Amino acid sequence: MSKRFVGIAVLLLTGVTTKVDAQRHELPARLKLATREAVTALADSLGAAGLPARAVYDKAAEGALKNASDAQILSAVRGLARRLRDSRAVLGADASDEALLAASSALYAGVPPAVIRRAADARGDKATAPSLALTLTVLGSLVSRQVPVELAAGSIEALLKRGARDFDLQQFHTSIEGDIQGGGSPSEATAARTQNILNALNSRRPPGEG
Amino acid sequence: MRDDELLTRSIEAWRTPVPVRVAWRAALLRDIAAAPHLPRQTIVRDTGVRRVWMLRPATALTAAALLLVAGLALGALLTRAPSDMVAVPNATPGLTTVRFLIVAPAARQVSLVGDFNRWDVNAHPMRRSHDGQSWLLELPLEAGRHTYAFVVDGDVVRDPAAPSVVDDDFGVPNSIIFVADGRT
Repeated sequence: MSKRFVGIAVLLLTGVTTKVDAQRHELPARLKLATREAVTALADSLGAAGLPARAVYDKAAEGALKNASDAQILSAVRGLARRLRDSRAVLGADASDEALLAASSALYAGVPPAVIRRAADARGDKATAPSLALTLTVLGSLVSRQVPVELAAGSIEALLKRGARDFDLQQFHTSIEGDIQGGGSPSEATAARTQNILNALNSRRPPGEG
Repeated sequence: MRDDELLTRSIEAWRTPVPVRVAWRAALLRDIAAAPHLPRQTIVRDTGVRRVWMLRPATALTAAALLLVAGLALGALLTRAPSDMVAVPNATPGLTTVRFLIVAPAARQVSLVGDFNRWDVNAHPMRRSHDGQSWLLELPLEAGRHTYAFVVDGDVVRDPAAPSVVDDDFGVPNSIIFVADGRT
């Protein structure tokens, strides 16, 4: 009788481990075993902490596609994991995975945690406000394009306080990117585009509203 | 006699029990009752050692296959939840079709890669436009933030028409797109 139970347990276990292995194999095949194990362990620890483990697998896959070495990939995923933990500390337990990823990008660009917190607070809880992920992505992107941190953060805060929505923030972002690609100064482009969007937001306001 | 009538009579004849003498019948039933009882599913090996199986081999194999399937299903249940949680954290249900385009008239092969396809170069090949200048792909995506790039004849290139993502760990920047979540 006990042999039968052992057999049943083995079969069940076979099915379970087959599925788990399939998930493990989502990592690029060309990675060395030690790299795969390190990435998997990192992803597991992130998942256990309620952080987006998938981002680590994505980063490893991206590195493999771009012919990065195992060492480069490991360094990148470790950095990402560290920034995700820092982002959680800044934004709190309620932050979405996307917001955490965006905050992680902003940290990578050199935005101080206090400025990230400030931008999140400026967004507030308004239903019409741009998502926190979009807000932080734009902030990080501007800083990575050599816009001074205070200018980037101040511009975004001004737009949010004036009622900017997703569309406005995206337009703000892409127009500055276009200006910079066209040879414009990052700071001047940011200042000019901020004023343009503010003007547009003012014209949208009902008469009599400050 | 018609064919169907002949058939009907034949069936009736086959169904009618063959008359047997009462004494023969009683003797037959006595012999059956006196015969030693053997397990219904008994297999005697060639070695002569009698071994009684609880199940026929075919039944056992079927049961094993069912258990394996149950194990796979259990494995799927155990591993799927966290994966789904990570994939669509707070996205509004539903997909939005996004059109990707890159001008690359001299390219022979272009594909779209990103966090939505695990950076798999084979997942989303793009098609050449009618005028031969561009490569196109329309892809349904979940609402939210996506990073992506194009692979043009083996080289990873960012979308020149979109902002690039910040964390450029591997020397080739990606592009970023925010898919609307239906909010105003």
